[in-house]
Amino acid sequence: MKQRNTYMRQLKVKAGIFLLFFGTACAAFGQNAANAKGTKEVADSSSVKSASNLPVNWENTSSISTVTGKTIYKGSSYSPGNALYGLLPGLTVIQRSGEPGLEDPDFRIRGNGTFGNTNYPLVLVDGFEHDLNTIAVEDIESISVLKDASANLLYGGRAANGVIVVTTKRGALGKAKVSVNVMRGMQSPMGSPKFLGSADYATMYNQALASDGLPAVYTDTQIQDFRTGDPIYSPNVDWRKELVRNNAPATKANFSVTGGNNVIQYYASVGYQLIEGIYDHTAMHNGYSTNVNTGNINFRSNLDIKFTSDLKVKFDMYGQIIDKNTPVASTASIWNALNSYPSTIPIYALKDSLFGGTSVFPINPMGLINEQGYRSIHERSLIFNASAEYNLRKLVKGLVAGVRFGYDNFYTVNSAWSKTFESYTVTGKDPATGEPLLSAPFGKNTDLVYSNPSGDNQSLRLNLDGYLNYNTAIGSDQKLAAQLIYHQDKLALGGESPYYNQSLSGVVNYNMKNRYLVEMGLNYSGNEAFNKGHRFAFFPAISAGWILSNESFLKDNSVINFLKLRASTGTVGRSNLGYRFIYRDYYTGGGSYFFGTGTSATGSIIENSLANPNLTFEKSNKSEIGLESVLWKNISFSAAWFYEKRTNIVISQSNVVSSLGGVGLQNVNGGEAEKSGIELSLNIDKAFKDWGYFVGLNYTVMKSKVLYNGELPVPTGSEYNYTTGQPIGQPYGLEFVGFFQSDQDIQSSPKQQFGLVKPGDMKYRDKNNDGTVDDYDVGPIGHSTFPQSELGLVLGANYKGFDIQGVLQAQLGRDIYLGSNPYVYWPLINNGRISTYVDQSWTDANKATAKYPRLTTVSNPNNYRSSDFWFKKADFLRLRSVEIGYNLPSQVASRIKLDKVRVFVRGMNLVTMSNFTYEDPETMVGYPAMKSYNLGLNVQF
Amino acid sequence: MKYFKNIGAVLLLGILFTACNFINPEEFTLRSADQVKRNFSSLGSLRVAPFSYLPTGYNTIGNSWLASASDEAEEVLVTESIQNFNIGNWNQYSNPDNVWAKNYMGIRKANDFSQMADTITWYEWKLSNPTAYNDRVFRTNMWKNEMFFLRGFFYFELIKRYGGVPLIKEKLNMARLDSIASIKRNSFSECVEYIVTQCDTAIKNLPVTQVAADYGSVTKGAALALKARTLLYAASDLFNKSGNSNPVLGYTDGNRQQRWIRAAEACKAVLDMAPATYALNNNYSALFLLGSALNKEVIFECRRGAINSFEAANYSIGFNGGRTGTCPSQNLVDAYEMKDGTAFSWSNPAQAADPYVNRDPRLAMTVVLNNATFNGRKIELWEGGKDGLPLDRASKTGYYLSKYVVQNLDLTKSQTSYHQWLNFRLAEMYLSYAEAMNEAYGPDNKSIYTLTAREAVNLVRARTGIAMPAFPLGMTADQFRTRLRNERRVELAFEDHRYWDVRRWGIGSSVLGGDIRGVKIAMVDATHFTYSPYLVETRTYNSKMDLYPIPEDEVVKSKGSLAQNPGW
Repeated sequence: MKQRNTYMRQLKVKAGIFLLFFGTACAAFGQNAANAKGTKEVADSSSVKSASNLPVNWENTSSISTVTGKTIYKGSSYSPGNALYGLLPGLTVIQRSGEPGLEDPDFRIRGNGTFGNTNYPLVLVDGFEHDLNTIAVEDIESISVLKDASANLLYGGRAANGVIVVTTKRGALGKAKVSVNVMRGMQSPMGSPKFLGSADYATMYNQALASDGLPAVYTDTQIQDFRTGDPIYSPNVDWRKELVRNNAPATKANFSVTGGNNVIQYYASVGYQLIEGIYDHTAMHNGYSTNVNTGNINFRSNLDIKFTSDLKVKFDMYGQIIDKNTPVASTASIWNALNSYPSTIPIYALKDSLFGGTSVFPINPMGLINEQGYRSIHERSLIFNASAEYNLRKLVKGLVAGVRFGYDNFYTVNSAWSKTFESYTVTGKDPATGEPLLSAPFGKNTDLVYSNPSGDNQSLRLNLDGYLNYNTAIGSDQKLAAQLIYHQDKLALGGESPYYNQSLSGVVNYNMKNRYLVEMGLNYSGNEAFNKGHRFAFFPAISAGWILSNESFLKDNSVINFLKLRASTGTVGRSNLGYRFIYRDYYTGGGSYFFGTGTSATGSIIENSLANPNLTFEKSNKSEIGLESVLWKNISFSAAWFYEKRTNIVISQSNVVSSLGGVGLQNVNGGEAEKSGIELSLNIDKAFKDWGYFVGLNYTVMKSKVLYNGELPVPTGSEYNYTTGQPIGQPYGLEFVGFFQSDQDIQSSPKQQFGLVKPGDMKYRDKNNDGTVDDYDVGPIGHSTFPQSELGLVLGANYKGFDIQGVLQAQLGRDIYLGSNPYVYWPLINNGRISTYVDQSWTDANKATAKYPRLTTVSNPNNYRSSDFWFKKADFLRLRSVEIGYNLPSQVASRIKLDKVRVFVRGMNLVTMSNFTYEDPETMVGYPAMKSYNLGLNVQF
Repeated sequence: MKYFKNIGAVLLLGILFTACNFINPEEFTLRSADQVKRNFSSLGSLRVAPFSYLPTGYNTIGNSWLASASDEAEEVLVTESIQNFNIGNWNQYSNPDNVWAKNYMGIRKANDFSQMADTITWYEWKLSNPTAYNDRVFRTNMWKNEMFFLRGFFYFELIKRYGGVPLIKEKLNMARLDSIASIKRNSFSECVEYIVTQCDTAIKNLPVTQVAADYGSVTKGAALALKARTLLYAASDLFNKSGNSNPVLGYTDGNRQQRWIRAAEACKAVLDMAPATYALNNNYSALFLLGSALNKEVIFECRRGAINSFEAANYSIGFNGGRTGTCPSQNLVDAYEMKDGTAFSWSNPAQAADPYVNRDPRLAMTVVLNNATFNGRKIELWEGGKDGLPLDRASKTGYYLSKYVVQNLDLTKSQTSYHQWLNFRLAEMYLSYAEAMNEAYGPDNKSIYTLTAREAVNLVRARTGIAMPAFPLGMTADQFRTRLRNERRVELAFEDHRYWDVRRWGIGSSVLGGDIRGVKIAMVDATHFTYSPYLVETRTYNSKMDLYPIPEDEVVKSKGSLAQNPGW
């Protein structure tokens, strides 16, 4: 049996290889086709102006938005992802952190569509799956976002969350053109909460103790001493100011050459980038730094070779080396310490030598960042793509076959040199010597010790595509194009079963009279995560377009140069559900029990959750209606309405599986969600003799809803507790009605079940009127941090040698939860501090005007829990980038043998307007996002 | 047309290619049921699985002892989940002691082992290695018999809380979820009979003693003790309400007398194993600090290894690392008699002035009293003392827990000590026997047995080091019952009995819904203190709480087949 299978396999492989040479359309072709089909809705001046006043790719019937590398470059900081804010309708870019090396943002295409696993789209670089943020910005030719089912057809079983396609630059005919881009800037952190100084903190702390019924701890003399602030005996340390600098330098340089002749065309580039972090005092040690520094070097070489008039070959190579240096402590622990470590503990117990600390707080932030050693992360990636395309016109006119191969290797090594340090409490002043008296040390001084916390990791992705294209004309007014594309890839990570993808797509395009367009396609995709028989699925899509501007009644209209209506519908799917191989029953480790007199327990094995052999793709049915137009020659306007229903979302079966069985069942495909919205985009581009301007505006509204997620039932009267019927990611909490003003108030109100309440604590609404306030009074409040609508605006102008471009982005309809940054907004929590945001806490004296619950030194689960009191509106508008450049006049430039010299200043995140002003509304927690001022130079020769 | 033909041909060839076996996941070794069956050590691991679902004692509800939800103690922290019981904030939607799912998982693990072991013969070893064969067969059989006990234990844990529950006697086929949803609760008497038959099978085949390496395993005595306890609960007030017509909640016939006799008989079977296998230990306090040693009074224990979490939770706040935790109540302390057998009373000025002198020795062994020596120093429970109010987190009642707490552990150095929780011990069997005999025949009637109820209690009171005066002859059944219940309360304090005893005796509302008292201690001088009892809190309790509510999501999943307990 086994031998027969091997024989069959060999036969199929031979047949396959034979086929490969005829090929079937590959992703590269598919991507070219996508570019060929995409309508550019772009904020770049050169796209709209074309000789026939038709937008490029007017034949497209699916929903694709593209932006060119030129626009991206002008808005980029140091990570390609961060250059895409506000540029593409339907693409929401969410900043997560400003930490060098980790500033890559999160993407959503048209909002959240599912509540299972992730909403992150598929990202392809030159046709194969790869991380967007490891590509050099200067190498990018264009980025397209494929949004509806028809555009995503070729990626069928991977494309439910949409697809982002990145194309890199290729050579062009002509003599070698060298381009040098250099930029240097200073980054500074945005959003810095402030905390009360030691004297004010001590006063408020005494107040908190009083409201708890406990005696005061700080005496008046102590408070007075804090005001004068002796660094050792009565310190008043502003940890953020001490350890976070306001400016950190960053440098970027790129050198590229492009050119070619009829046989070979090439694009080659080398890039370098170095970014420093904002921690201070990091150079205290010989030979290493404890700052967060990231440096990377990358190189690329893209060759197009025409062997014969019928055979075209491409070789692409890309490599990158990244070196990251970070402190040993994690980013989260550092920023929590900066926010919560008491200001009353000195940095140094003995002038500049021994660290201050107490038994409860042994590690002060100076030591946490700078005295625990460093981590060094080294990453290397190498991509090698080769493709061959053969024009089969001698066999069949209009037939082209091709094959592509990709090799993508990523290797990372993580090593740490760590140590610990001692800290001391100052217990008094020695009257004789005047030196501080110190307690016994906390912790120990050790030397650097090497460790390899996560070892070496290697991942390898092998891609193979084959394709077949056919283009023909039928009669004089009909065109037919067909493609067949085969794709397979394997991702091997150490220690896990490899990941496989395989798909076959066929698409047919029909064009009648350049007025009526139809596209039909079918994709058959497979993945290894599921059981045999459920691994493959069909994903069909159909779209149609009607070009009204080519109809007789609009053909010569002076206002409407181009008008197209399009509609599409289809199904795509995804398989990265977070569950692999759950179709098998097996035994796994269980609890342990002690037998005998020994001190080690005996382990057990138990049945794992019973298998679900039917797990399969999550499916997304997308529909769209769109309109694209070009008016008055320079204005392009497009609008789209989209709707998506997601089914087969993985949900738990705990709401139907009775516990009488004593064992759980694996999750099943059962959840459903839907989303809908509108995209609008407007571009105006005008050029005159000496000057010109362009405006690009895009606006997206996104709404989502959970239709079914298998949640457990709630008691009648508390139906608001259900997450079904609410937007995906909807936050839940209690409804705040006021502060308890007195003991009688507490007695006469519904009983709150979260802990003991006193006057000054928060009172909540008893929504189900059962006399108690508990978890069944929790309902939907506010909005999640994901916006309900997004606005992007690109403005630019040029006059003689000067040019200016700015990108604005607004996210509207979002809230932030103050409880996600408790050390700032929940005073004294976990022995933390009090920030300046805490204003007018409730006391008996100010009970009428109190704005914050009473201060307390013990844990207070009644006040510090999710309620609408802690959700604040956080819509914001940001000037993401603004760049002013000046081109040296051509006579001046040519004197130094250069074609073009342009100097520019660029600012990123310079202005933010928001209704939440205390901190940066986008990245409230952890390493802050950065604003930067940069100076740069573009030279071409 | 020919264009379409060409396209079609290539399409077909393409699909053929896809059939090529490219996607071939490498499946790493995962143990299947077959592999477990053939591997003796895997089978041994499978046998351990149900044990891990047994109650482990000590802090069963979060960081607190079940005792803190009865009138034995009060948990010091207001925010601990156990306080929900005391403020009445628990119901079918949220119950801190929700063990429904956990016990059914234990039942399934036991059934899984039984069904697998039934198919194992080890024949292949018979000829090749006879000694290994004998060993394997012996052990497999012993483990199979343990499963009967474990199933009985899990069902007992369920019925004492919920009343009658669905009896799942073998692994349920989870493919038919709708047939599972229609399973109904069995009647209380069916459940009791099932537990008794399971125990009977175990009793027949389990060994009497065990070797050191097997300490913690199930013996014949454990199965006998479980049967005795089950029958005692089955005869109690809670499950024998007069006029009860719902068989799920208890018995509906009037044969209560029979049940008491049966219970007495079952207890006697355990007592007959003394003094050969079991005997009362001659040191009461040492009984709860056995370390890893086996003790003749212990019938079935749960070994916990070397830990100190329990001490960290219950040492006084005055010790470094201590968190106070369980504060024994004045209610419990008042229950201890004077050394001469009379009751303690606050209205007796001599007793009120020095309440801890001349008391039942078990008081000092169970509770840390003011000025007693504990963990190397005197405990300063008076106002302003190192261990007393108003220190944050000092005991609310004026007492700390002593029973089961290992002294002399330095928590800052993370020292640990071996702990074992005694599930069944001989003294409980004497007291249960006395209770059953009293109800069946009265205090002084030994019927066909060798021991009267009174004699049984007196054996417990006469323990070396305790030597409390015997119960006198000629008490009425009611008088005996009152004194016996008090004896059970002090002998088995903090052993997770009181919480269930007051429910099954039908006095839950008054005890668990009553006042919890503590004592305020003021220091006069180094040896003189004044004691003023005061009210700590009034508990909230409703008679519906005598039986737990079935978790609501289970009722919903059963589409109403599982009837909820009344009042919930």
